[in-house]
Amino acid sequence: MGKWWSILFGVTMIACTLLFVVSPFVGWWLPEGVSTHSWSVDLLFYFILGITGFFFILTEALMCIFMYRYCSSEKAGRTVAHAPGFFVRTYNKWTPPAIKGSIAKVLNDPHKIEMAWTVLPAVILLWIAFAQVDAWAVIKYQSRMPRYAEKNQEFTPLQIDVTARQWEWRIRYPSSERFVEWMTRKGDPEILKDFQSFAKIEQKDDVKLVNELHVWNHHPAVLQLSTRDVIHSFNLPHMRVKQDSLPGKQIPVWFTPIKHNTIRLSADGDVWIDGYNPDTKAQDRNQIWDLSCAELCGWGHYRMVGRLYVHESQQDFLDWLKSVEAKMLPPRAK
Amino acid sequence: MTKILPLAAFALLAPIVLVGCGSDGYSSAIVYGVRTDPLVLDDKLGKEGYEPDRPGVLPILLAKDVDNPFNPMYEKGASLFKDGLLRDPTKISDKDRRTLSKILQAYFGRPGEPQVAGVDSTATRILKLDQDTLSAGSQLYRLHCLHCHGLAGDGRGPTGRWVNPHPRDYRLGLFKFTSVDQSDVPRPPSRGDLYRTLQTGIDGTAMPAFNMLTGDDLQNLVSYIIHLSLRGKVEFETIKKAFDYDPAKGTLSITEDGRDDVYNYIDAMVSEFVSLFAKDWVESQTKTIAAPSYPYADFDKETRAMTAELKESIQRGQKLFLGEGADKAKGVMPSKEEAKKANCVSCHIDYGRQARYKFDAWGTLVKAQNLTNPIRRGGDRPIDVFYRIHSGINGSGMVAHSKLEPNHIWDLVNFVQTLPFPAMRKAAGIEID
Repeated sequence: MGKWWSILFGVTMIACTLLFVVSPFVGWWLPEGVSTHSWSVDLLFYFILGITGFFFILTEALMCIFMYRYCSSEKAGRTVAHAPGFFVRTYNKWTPPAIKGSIAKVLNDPHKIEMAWTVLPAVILLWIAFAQVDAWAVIKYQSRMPRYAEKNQEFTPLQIDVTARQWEWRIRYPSSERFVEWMTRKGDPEILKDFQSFAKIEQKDDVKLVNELHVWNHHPAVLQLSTRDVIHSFNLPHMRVKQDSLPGKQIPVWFTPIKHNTIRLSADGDVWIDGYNPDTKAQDRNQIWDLSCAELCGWGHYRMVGRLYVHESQQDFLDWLKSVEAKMLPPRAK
Repeated sequence: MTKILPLAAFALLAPIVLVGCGSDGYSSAIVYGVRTDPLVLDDKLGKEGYEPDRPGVLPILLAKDVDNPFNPMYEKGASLFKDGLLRDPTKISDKDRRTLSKILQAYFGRPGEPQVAGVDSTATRILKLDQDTLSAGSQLYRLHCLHCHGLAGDGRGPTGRWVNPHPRDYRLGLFKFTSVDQSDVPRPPSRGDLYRTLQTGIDGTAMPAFNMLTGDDLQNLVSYIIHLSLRGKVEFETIKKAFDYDPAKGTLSITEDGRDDVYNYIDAMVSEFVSLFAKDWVESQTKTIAAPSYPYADFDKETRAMTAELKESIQRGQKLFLGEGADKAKGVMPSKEEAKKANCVSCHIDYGRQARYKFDAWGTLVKAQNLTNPIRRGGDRPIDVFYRIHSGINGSGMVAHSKLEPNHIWDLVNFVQTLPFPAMRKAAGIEID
């Protein structure tokens, strides 16, 4: 009977592997990576997947083969127990006597084998630990994050405050006027102070939105991440960004998009839509980019989803910011 | 035995594996029950001033809750029912309750097949109360709102009791954040107000934003909320009007007029209430507060500093807030009468930092907002704050100030919007400590 179990496990294994091989072709794979560092994350991912996948399949295959070869059998003087009669009858009838199982050898003190299966993974793990440092440093080290431009620096990043709460993302942008000052006045100590105070001090003219994260293409965005209640995890799968937000801490996160997905519906209207694919110049479901929570944060975790809108240019972003501001203003005489 | 075990294990696991398979709608076996929680008829319910913080406990779920020593209504206890401040609908006889339930069901259907019968076609069109919209709304409601706001929109869903402030109970027909003129009587909100609340959520409370749903979904939800609110209010008013309380026996029995023919008596009353309240809702759709245009520039175009007029407005706002006026209005000083009309400090003690708890229309202890905190639940656009001051916040104790001069309301808006920001307070030359 044991042979049928090993066959069942073997078939399941092969089915899983096939499913895994097929999934990239039917859209069950990683979404398109559209930030400057996404290739390094993907590279690490595929590399680790390759190593673990190879050893996983190897060990599982060996296990199935051994189970098949050395399962309990009449030949070994054991009886088949705990199996429905139908299976037992089928097994006895259809299994050729030659492969009804043999007795496994017992290895005493296999030091060399044990050394091998300890040292080899250790070496691989160490190597991965060192190889990933660069990617990690670029993405996570605060000292390497883009900051307010000193005179010799090219540009200042966009800075946004993202506050998670059960169950939404509350997002705060600088006012358009302040934003323009950040972008244009370089190396000004006053602006530096203002830039650094943004995450800590709320101002009256800040633009506040919920669940809508807007940035623009080819420009770094630094998000100051915090939470009002429990632990959430800020996840932008298309940008390969994921960061837990912890109560009482403000954690900066950054990325630079390399593709945009948002266009203005008409040149003078104030409606912007995402889901635009610049390659095909058409609407595309894959171009709707989620901002999701990746940490189970309560019953409403499933609905803690926002959207990432990447505008084509700084000007387009500024136009959008101004249009949102205009909606906040009190009614004025024309 | 061992052969049955795997089958038994599968049978046990099946409900877990298959959970979530099925339709999004309510089962047709589910009906709206007649309410069992006491009706709050007055807000002088007991001890105010402090809030006994009891997470997981609603203010009053059943009549016996007032017997709990930790309940702020404990002091008055059973006399609340005798004096008619609360009314316990469980005292209605079973027969009358069945009649009432049957009639309400005839008008409003079930959660699975909601409807609003007995309103004219114009109201159905304006309020979008057709059956297709309502049943689409009810499916969404079940998915997104039910767990807090409850099956009948009573704010008593399973998670509702754990959040503070508690979720809104729609059955009074009162909604807090509206753009509708409430200066004479409290009115229901416009569809746009409900839509906006769904879209932006209510910052500072557990109500999240639903702006990732499509516009159509939100419109369907708005319709279903109107349906629930209408049903709840009709039920509330019917229990209030059609029944008499007998303090000696402690029973609720049909009033004398209706004893001969209970069914028709209640039916006629429900019919009247349905069309009456639907009319209120229809009226609200066009009664937006007429806010005059905002008279101030944001800042001086040349110096980029606060303009002198705006600064003066903020200072005048503070005087109004504190109820300080002169015999004759001059500069930043409003007249005595105007200042008396505003006098926000009477509830927002120390700009709300030391506000006291008071009972609201739902029997919950609430307090005036701490205005030095930048969160404005009803929205932080200046026009939102204008609406709140002009028409108050329904049910909460924040009264309408529509008698104030519109420009004085703008002064108050400017002041209130400046309050949370120390640098702006300094620039405007106001002192709050």
